[in-house]
Amino acid sequence: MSAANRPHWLVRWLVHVVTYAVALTMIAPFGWMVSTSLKTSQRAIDPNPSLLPDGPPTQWQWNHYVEAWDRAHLGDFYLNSIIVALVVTVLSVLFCAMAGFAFAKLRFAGRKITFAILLATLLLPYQVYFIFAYFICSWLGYIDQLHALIVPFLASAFGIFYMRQSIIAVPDSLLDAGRIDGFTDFELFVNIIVPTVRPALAALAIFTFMASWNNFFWPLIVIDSSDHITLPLAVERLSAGQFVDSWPQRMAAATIITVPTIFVFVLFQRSFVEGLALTGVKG
Amino acid sequence: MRRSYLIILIIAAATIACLIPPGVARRSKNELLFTVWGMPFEDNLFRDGYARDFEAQNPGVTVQYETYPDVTKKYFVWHLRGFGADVMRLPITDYHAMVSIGALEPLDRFINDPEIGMTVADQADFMPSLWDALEIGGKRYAIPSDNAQYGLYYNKTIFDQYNTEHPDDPLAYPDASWTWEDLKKAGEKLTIEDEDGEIVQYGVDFDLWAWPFMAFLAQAGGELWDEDQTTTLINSPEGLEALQFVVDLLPHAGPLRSADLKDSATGPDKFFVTGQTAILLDGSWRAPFLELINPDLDFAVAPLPHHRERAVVSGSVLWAISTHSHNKHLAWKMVKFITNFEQSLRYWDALRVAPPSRLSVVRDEAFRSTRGIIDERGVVRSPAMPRDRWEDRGQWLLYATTPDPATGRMPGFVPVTPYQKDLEDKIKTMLGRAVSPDRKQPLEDLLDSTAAELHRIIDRDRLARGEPAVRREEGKR
Amino acid sequence: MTGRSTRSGWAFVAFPLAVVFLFTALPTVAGVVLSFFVWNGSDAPSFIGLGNFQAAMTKDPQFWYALRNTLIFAAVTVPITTVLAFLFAVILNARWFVGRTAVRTMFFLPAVVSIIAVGYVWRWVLDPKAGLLNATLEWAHLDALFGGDLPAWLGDNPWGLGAMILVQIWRNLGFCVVLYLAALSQVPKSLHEAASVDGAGPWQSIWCVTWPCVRPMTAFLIITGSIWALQVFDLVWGIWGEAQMRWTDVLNAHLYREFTHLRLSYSATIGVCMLLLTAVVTIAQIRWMKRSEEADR
Repeated sequence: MSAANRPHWLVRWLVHVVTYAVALTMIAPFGWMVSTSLKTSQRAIDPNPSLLPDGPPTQWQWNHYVEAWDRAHLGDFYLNSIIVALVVTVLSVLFCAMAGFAFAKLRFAGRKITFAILLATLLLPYQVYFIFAYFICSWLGYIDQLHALIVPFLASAFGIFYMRQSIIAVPDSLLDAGRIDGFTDFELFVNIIVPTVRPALAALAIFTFMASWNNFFWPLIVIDSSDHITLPLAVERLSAGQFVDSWPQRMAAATIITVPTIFVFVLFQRSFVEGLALTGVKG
Repeated sequence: MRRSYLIILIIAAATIACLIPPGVARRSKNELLFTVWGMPFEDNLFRDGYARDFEAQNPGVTVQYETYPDVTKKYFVWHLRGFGADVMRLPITDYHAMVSIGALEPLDRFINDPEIGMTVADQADFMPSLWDALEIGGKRYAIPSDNAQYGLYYNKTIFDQYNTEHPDDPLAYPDASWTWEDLKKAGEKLTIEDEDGEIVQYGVDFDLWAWPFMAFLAQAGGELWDEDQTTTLINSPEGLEALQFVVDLLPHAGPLRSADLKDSATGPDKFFVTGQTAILLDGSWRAPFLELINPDLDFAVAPLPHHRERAVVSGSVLWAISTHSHNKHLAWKMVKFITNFEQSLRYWDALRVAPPSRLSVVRDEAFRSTRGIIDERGVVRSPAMPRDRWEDRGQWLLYATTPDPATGRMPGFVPVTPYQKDLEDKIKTMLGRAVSPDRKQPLEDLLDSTAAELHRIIDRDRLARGEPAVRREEGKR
Repeated sequence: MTGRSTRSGWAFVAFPLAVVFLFTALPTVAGVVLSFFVWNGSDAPSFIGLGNFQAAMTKDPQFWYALRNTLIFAAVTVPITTVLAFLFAVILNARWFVGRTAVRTMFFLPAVVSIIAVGYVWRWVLDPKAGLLNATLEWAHLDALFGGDLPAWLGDNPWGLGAMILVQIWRNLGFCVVLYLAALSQVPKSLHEAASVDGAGPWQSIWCVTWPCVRPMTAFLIITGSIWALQVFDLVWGIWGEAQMRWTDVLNAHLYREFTHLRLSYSATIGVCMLLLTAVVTIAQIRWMKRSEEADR
């Protein structure tokens, strides 16, 4: 919005207040989690809790983070999670963008019905069909390997649908101009579509990374050996058994594994700048 | 043109690299897959203790140790794909389900084997009601490892304080002589409210799951199931007594307490460990946790009170062998090893969460103290129980396996039936509704409707299996 | 659009579709087929036709509670989340907003925190006696709203359903805001400038220029949002646990509970019922959107 379009200063001030208030409620539970991780075990489970750990910051239980890292052997499994999440994110965003482009802008036989079938796969909850995907992975020899965590996620109906919606918004005139210049479809994709929908690609990258990083159920099912597990499974080991022996440690571990996703988010959200689209062509 | 072809090439190469599976080595004849669940420090016992010692005793054998947060689901999906572990730790609540899907190997041929089997005397060493309960259709599919019991934890400081303030009306510490009346009175006397009517000290408290109800039902002389184990009898007069007792013991539950808070942030055990509850009904596994979180808490444990009968509800953890195991003979040797006297004692000595189901271990002098587990950094993971703590915190465990002089029967019982899990889920919901102050339904109706809902689930299950519907009397719906 | 498109169109979708079909579509078909069978895991499955469905309709009161709760849940969360997300995305996209990156990250945090931590934290916040929510309400003297008695958010009452809706909006708002932010970034600056030249104020600019431009994203959020809301699971399971209550059970939790009892084919049946429900809702939404698009022309 240009300067002439700025709302009245009172409105701006109100909007800031409300938005910050909402943002605070968004992070309040997260803050609670971090605060718990810094309390002693006894204070953490006190049914009359306090907002912050006792005493000055130097007395807070920072050691829980070190202990959680050691006991859950997070260092061993960080690499597994990173490899899986990076490979899945890069390739999946790419393939979903390609398919989304085809569904949005290219005509091919059976496009409509294939897209309908694609959407239909979103309708059955995964808790029902995961077992059959498990069998398929078993036949392919992927069980207990990182392959089982990567291959099924190289493309997703959600991602394709999302990219299709984002690419539909790209003006056809841009593509026509490209065709006149003699681009093949793939060059259209690389040189025109990708730069234009970069914010959508960034958003999809964030979510794909996040989904892969936090995935708990599927690795639980397909990974048998403890060397191949990913971080969420490693963290869960801190609480298996007859009791949770340390809530703060569990919270510390949960905080640790959140950090990379936040990092990825901050990195990619720089693409969300208004007006990045090519201007100069009437839409 | 060049750049886009290069990109295509790179993508294709990366993708193909992801698609090719690596080869997988098969398990050899002398390798056992040993699966458990547990906290990291329990590796000390299962991996460094059981697994390594078995390997040492059987040269040439390797034991691959794996621990999973949710073993039952793992076993289930493995079984569906035709795979299984050799030695499996299994919660008893999933026993019937695992047997019905054919995942567990019948152990009778091993037990009765003259060379590697168990003698009759050896079999009798396991708690009889538990041993018998594991027989399904004449076959036995698992060996019990322990026998976790429901007990009465009490805060001695609160009792002492009460007796100081009321010298003319003293309260004795709870013990096996307590009746329902004693417990109710103690709860009333030990509850303290402030000016606003808010409770600052709870008299009696317990989590609302199936165990309190099942214990009280048995103490009233009632039964959970009929002989076929397909019709529930919780809506009998004894059931009503038991439910009424639960409601009487927790007058302030409902808005102040949500159901199913075991291991959650604000469960009854949290109030007990911070010294705000006088009496807590909980399982034997709670004791190490209390000591770990609040070593200064002066608490002791007593057996449950009795009513018409003496009864203690308990649970168990089992060891089983998968039908898909390739080394069943060797697996049996290991199961026999880890359930023998020394290893069972070791389980108690390390974890202290439940007494072993071997009666000889429970009655041994070595049972009366434990060393716990201390990890490499010197941090106590599982607290030890020195001998002088035995009377306060360990002796109560003998109650369940000591025959009652009046009847000759042991009070301890382990409910193991085909639809037990569904029943316990329903009981949990029922208790939550029973103690809620918004309840308008009389308790009899609540019991009847719970039983009816359970029967509908059972009928649905039988319908799905193609089994005939259950014929029930009109009154029992 | 030349005829060449036909071949290369397939070249673009071949591999992604193959992945989706192999790991999602084929298993989905298998799952649907399973609901007509009974399979105990070791013997061959036996065909019982509509037997499972009949059982679900007539012998499973929990199914109907779960269905009711799921419908209410979806009907309330989807519109609220979509509208709020759009508004906040516009705000966080504005040049004049101070601290955009920080606030965006704060909005995004709930979506990123693992469900274990979410369950733990929210169980504490919602606890009737010791929880943050009731403590705050009391401190703000809002307990009069509830007739003096603060509700038991974790109990088996409609307030529990309300708490579920609250937590869902908390968790998903950031997610939807990010998607809208991406879509807003693609709105050409020239359109806004043209509008302001025509004399449009900021609110008119939003309503007449921004909102129609992000229509594909709105459609996406409503359709997928409804599907996810109808399929909500880990939030409910993590906070309300395995308890079978009347007001806080949802279809997917009921399904998963049946799976933990190792009743595989019955959980497939519930899944197929969910599929039918979701299909009806999605088709109705697509039809309605097409109609409103045509009306605008």
